[in-house]
Amino acid sequence: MAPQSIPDKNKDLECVRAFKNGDVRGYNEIVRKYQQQVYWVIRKMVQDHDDADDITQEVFIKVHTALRDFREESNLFTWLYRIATNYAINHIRKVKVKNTVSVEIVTDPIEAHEKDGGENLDDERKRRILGEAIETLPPQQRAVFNMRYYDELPYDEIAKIMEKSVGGIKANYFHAVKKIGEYVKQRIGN
Amino acid sequence: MNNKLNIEELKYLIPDYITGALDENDKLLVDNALKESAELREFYTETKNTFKFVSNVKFEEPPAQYWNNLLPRIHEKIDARAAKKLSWDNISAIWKIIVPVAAVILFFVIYQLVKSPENQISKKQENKEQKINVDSGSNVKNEVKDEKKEQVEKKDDNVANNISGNGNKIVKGPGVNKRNGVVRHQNAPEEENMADNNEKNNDNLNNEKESNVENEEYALIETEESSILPGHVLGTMDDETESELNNLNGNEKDQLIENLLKTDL
Repeated sequence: MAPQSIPDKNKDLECVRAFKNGDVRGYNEIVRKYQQQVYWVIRKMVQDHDDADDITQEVFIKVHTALRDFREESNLFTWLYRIATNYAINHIRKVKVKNTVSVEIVTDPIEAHEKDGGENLDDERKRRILGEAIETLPPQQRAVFNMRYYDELPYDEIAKIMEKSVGGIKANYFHAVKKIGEYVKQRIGN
Repeated sequence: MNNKLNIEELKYLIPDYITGALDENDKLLVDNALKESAELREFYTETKNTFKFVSNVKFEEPPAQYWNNLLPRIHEKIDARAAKKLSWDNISAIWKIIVPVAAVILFFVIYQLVKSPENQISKKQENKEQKINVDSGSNVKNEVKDEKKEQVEKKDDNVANNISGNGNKIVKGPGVNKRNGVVRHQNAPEEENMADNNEKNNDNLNNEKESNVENEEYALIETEESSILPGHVLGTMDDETESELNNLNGNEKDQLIENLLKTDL
């Protein structure tokens, strides 16, 4: 996954202004431009494609509703990320309430052939273990980990998106990496 | 202690050190610390393995047409929700009219039921009946009183006639009350008995007047009829009066007639 660069702000503003003037092409341009980024932010947080698809659509519907009130001094990219992250966090919390993560999943005994440092694990198993590791994270740490590790966003940008301090975001990222490492180590015996 | 704290702080830089996101100054700091601290090296190794594992995990890409279909599907949802919202707004707009109108109608109906002409008539009838009852009660009282008065007067007249028939004077004056029927005779002990009876009867009347109105008025009449001039007294008087009248001579009869004419009886 290629790191996401912060898009050109001026071009975003043109799209926003066009949409505010009644030109739906401005909105369509924004969706096409950011749909993959928004999808992957969500997908890496919720893991499941169908859930990510539903949430992505909801995010862009929200954007369609709220774009007329968008303040032009703000960064559209940051604004979009914030909406996507909040929707994903809310979804995770709802799912957690419905299906609390079973302790048995965490302590599920690993078959001997899996304890080889993960070299011989197939992609599906790796995805499952990483998914489980990410699911152990609080929603905010998940979001920060995704934005920092996958999207390589700077801390100050993540801090704006999450509306937290830079120090808090750094701490979130550190603890997320540490927890994932501990879980993976426990699962594959690194 | 400071060294320990520094290692803990440097651990926060390790993830970015591994991913190459640290600036040059922090990178040099971590490089030097890794040479000196085994604990930091161990953490570095664990974190590097973690990132190695994570980087090896490939997320399953969505279908190729997914990105082409996403925008139309979003527009479909937007249109569907707009239509739904529109219909809901229409419904809500209708309800905004219907509810107040229904409330007014309901209030009017309830008001009409409560204040309906039938109820008003029935109430008026009730009021009238009450008034009639009150009026009839007073009329009955008045009628009873009138009847009683007439009867008393008649009885007084009879008494007076009886007395005058015995050749005695009928005393009229402030002490004589037709209503109460107080009649006194100078020389007749029977008259005194009668007067006493009348007084007693009048006392009874007065006492009975003070008691309950409706039922007692009728009882009062009966009491008066039976007590003011008892039948055996009247019968006795009639016989005696007749015999006395028969015994009167012509002059006495003429005088009696003149006296009777003077008395307006």
